[in-house]
Amino acid sequence: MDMIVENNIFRFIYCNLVNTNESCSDFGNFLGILPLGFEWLAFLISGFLLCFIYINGILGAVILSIWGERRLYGRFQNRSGPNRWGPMGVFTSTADAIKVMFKEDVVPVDADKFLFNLAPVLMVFPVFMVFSVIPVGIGTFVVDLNVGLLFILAVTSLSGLAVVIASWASGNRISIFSGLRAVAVLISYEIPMALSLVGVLMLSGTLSLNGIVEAQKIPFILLQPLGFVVFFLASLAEINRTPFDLTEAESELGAGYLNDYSSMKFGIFFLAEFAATIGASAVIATVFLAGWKGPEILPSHIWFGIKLILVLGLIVWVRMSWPRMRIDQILHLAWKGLFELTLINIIVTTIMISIKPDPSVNEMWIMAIINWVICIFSLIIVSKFLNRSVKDNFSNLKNTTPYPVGTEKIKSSFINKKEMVN
Amino acid sequence: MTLDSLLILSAAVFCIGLYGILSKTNIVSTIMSIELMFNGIIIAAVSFSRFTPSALLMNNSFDVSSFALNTALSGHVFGVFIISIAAAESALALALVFVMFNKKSSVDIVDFNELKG
Amino acid sequence: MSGNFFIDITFWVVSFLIILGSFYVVTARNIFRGAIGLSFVFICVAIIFFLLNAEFLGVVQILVYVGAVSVLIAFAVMFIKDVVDGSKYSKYRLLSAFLCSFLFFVLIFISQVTEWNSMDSIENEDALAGLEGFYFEESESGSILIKKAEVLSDGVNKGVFINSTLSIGSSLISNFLIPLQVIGFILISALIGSLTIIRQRRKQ
Repeated sequence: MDMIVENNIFRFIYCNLVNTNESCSDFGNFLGILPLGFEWLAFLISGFLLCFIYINGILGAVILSIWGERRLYGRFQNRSGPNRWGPMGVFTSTADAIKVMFKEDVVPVDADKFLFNLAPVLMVFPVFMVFSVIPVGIGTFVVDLNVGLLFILAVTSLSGLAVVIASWASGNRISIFSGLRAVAVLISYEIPMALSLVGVLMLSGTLSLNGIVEAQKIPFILLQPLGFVVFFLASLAEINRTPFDLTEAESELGAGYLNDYSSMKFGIFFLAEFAATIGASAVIATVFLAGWKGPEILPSHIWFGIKLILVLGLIVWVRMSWPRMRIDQILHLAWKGLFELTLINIIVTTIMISIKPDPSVNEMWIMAIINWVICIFSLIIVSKFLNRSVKDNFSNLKNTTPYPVGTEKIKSSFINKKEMVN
Repeated sequence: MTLDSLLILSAAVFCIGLYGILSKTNIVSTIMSIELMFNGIIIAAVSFSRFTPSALLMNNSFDVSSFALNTALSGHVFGVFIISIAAAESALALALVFVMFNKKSSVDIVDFNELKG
Repeated sequence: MSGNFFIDITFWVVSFLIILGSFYVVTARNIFRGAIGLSFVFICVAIIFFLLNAEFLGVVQILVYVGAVSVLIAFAVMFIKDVVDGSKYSKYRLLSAFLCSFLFFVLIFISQVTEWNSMDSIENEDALAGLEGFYFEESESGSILIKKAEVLSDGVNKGVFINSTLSIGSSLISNFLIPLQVIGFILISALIGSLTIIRQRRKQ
């Protein structure tokens, strides 16, 4: 019953469908479409409608964000970007989607067909699950889980499985190399990602995202700068964005594990990638930028949208400014840099909370200043250490022979034996 | 969903895992079967903590405290412990698999019989 | 809880899928497909945990088992010769099938014969309300009213089954403190041990 009380959209649909006065007493005049005794049907219908609205909203946002990102890339590279279809080229991504749908759907001979078709579905499924716990405005969410933040971490870790399946099922070596790299990156970055949220949990005392938004008297980006930096970098790695996008390093691996995918299967991977970008920015906006909270000049949904677009713009900015990193540099950054930063963050937050268990807003500002000073110092120190370890690595590399992908002999274990006979 | 049906489910998963360990010769298959057995045990632990009360709560003269109520969740805590042990165990076992493959380029148990004499 | 029709249907479907998936894991010739079937079983077990009000455990199951363990196994499978039909049976196949089915029937027999404590035998109403999160009261017309419980002040007032995450956390740092430390020790020794095992000697 709690869900009906708090969830505005669900309540609106449910109270318009159902014919009793018990749970909708303060709702005003409702339609009462269904006869008495069909509350369970109303419950089902409103749940499905809520999910329907959410998923279509996400798809629309993805289409818009692809267009917006391409316009921004154009601006960054001093060109005009897509501008032919519709006003300012809004319909370009729609045209792209239609083009992708009508391409030929090819399944390679070496592929494991069932798993090959399963991988795109598994890739897009967790991305939509992430959105289900994020409150978009006051009382606007699909479900308010009491383990919401852990749920997001758990569900995003499912995409690693999809990557493994996609890379193996394609049945060629380039896909497998790309998949091995991608999984190494995904698993390594899950650890700093989870640990960077510990400080937030200690400050808010709850795992529910609604509770976290309500606990932010001042946005947590001020109290948890280190957590924000680490979480931002880790989520960039999780969604395969530059500077961590080596799964699609064109010069080495072609399109990576997407090599053999064509038509709408490729389209689904593409959609999952952009939806994951929006999901990551939504999580950052909720956890670190106080979500739908803001001065009451604007409604809560618009505040959330503004923060979402700010984070999305930051991600695009990073993509346009940084070159791609090597695999060893990326793993060094995860294990030697971000991991230590999260530990520093946890220790500092623990000391602060044990001194001031329930701080007022003024004390929070003092905590914020201390945290920012610690953040800047520890970033400088850790970056010095990282720089040294990378140099050491270069001196080691001189003694080894170069190892270009594709020229070495592949062990027969990488290839499906059945299909090798031709 | 009763305690009986949950226990039967857990016993079934456990026994299927045991069958996998005993009947397969591939080491990775063995590791997968061990994980299945772990899952069966966790199901049993959680369903016990959901459907059978702890001894502290059965005592009617006992004053209700958060300590006594938390003992009702011992099964969940055991589940968390089992899951973390399973993660450590599988990482270690897969490291061993890599080493074995490097030594003999095979992961079949039948090939590792040096101690047979 | 026991009378909920939707929960029962979901439970029967999911447990059927679990048993089917487990059989597939132990009988599949293709190890990679077996590993994917294993992750499917893990997800279904997580659904069972959600049905049992163990949200925290379900989420941890997905995070650790599906996100890490099964991905690691699938990772390791790529290093095996003959993935497509690499999982062979040993010569003890029939004997082990007989032994396991015997063990299964013994386990079922024991679970049926034993008289487990049931939740109905708790007579302390406060204890029951502290577990479930509400009191039952009969109204004048005979229907059952549900009243929210406010049993204890220190955070357990929602009922430990409704808000299990908080109770698991507090019992991890009170009743189970030493096991928790031991688990941490085991995890770090497993990490260092697996790195030591897999490290290749550098050629001089």
